[in-house]
Amino acid sequence: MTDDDRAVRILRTMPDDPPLPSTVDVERTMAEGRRRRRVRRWSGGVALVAVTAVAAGGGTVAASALRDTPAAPVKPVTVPSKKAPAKVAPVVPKDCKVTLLPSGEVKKALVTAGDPTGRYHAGRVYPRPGGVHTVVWKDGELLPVPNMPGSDAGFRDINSSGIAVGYSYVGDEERAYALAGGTVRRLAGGRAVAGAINDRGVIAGTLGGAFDGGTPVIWKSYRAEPTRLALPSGITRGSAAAIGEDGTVIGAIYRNTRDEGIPYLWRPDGIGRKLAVPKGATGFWVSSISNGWLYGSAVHDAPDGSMRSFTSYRYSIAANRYEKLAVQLSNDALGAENGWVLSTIADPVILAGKRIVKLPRYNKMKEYQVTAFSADGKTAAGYTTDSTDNEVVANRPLKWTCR
Amino acid sequence: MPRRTDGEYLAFVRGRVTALRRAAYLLCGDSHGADDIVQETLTKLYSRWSRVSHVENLDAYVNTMLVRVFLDERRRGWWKVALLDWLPERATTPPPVEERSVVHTALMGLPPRQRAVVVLRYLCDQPVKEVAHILGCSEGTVKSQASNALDRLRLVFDELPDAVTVQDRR
Repeated sequence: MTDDDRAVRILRTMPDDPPLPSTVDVERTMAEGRRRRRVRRWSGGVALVAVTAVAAGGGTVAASALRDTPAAPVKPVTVPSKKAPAKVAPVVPKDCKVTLLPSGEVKKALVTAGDPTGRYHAGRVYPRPGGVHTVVWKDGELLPVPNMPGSDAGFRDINSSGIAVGYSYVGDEERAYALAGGTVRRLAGGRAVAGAINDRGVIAGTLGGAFDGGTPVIWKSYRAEPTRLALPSGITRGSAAAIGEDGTVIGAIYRNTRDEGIPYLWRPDGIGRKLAVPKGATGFWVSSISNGWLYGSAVHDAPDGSMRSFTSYRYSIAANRYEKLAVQLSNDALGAENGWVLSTIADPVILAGKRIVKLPRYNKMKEYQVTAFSADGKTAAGYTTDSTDNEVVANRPLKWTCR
Repeated sequence: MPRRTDGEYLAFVRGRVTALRRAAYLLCGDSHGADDIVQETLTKLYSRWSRVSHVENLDAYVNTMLVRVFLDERRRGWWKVALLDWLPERATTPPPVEERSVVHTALMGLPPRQRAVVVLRYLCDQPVKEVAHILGCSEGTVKSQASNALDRLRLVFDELPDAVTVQDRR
């Protein structure tokens, strides 16, 4: 194939200007960029403080700024330490420490998932530009496990037995894999993505494409054939992305290809329902499930679609009730069984009731993604996304442990 | 004191919004989506502006950010779900499908990663090594994805008389 290829020549004739006039607002990029800088500065300096939460309300952001949506700065106030009664979990996580997970000779690496015990973490390392190698850590040490085949491979979840699930690509087709017993094996069902696994070994995922929905399924084990999850009448596409320990599956259904998706819940008995929406919101983005609660962000769209804002909520599945969280978190909130929430407000934080505990930075780096939170809320994991002079995205795999 | 000033940012951005929108539009195929991608890319750029003074090839740096925003949004889109059965309408609706060119439709028919390879390789003229770096895959994967994408495009384009190519040029 050469640049003289006819297909390439035709491609290059493509009228490439968007047909509608630009709505890019350069002033707003500066205002929003300044706000992100301010939030980072607020979070600088102290290694770890407990802060009194100030209800931040919905941080309004541009519709485009769907990531990195930290709350308005809150004033850090040191909370006097209280001796926790014996046998009662501390009110807030304490003595949190950050450690860099080992990644051999390779610096660029990230954590993509963790198990409920906090002992297992899954991730990937980038041994050379463009190359990716999937890895698993146990108690902070790299395990000698085989690489997931395919390109752009990544684990999406790992359970307390160390079984990890995820997917990679062959060409542009996704293939779902499980790592179990030291072997990486492909899940049955053809083109598929695996999104989550619980401690019973039940895997939730989607047959077909990852991006626009396909057939939501569960695999009752990594050896099982997929079982389809029922879709409501008239709906042909959906996805399954998360699974609770009781077998509740969270995903979405799609009415058409341009649909953002309607969040959907399948009970352990397979019966499905649409999720309710927080009062006054136009939607709800689920980011995790833990102990019968969903954690995520209510979406508020301006009537003309020009602005989109978010408010952090959790949702009780049994009570069908939303509770607003004390502060605005990013759209990556992960819940623990005791109700603590791991997220980022520029820095990684744990929200314990109304208190924010900031997790320590690694090596003065400033930008973080969190990807794993143990069931007891004492182990968190994630990675940095700083830009440095040498790297566009300097990923470092991190684990935080607290008492 | 920032090593790059607001004035330099404005000068850099104002000269490039058109090209960035074009690239984003080629990637996502939708005017509003393209503007959202550019808005987010520039916001990230501005928030890092004082720290990018050592970046020698700022255009390549920004193009990388743009493609990462596109792919991240696609990936995260799986999680992003709205509750209502409708989406808010923007002020202006896009042109009907039949007004879009055959080439545009064919490009949008490619899966996102393949499309990103084609856009970066042939429409943004990035070398294979750079495309591999941006997409986080091997050079071999870039070549095979490009080859597969062109095979798919040829299926469409081979049906076209040469005249259509000219009509596509607006």
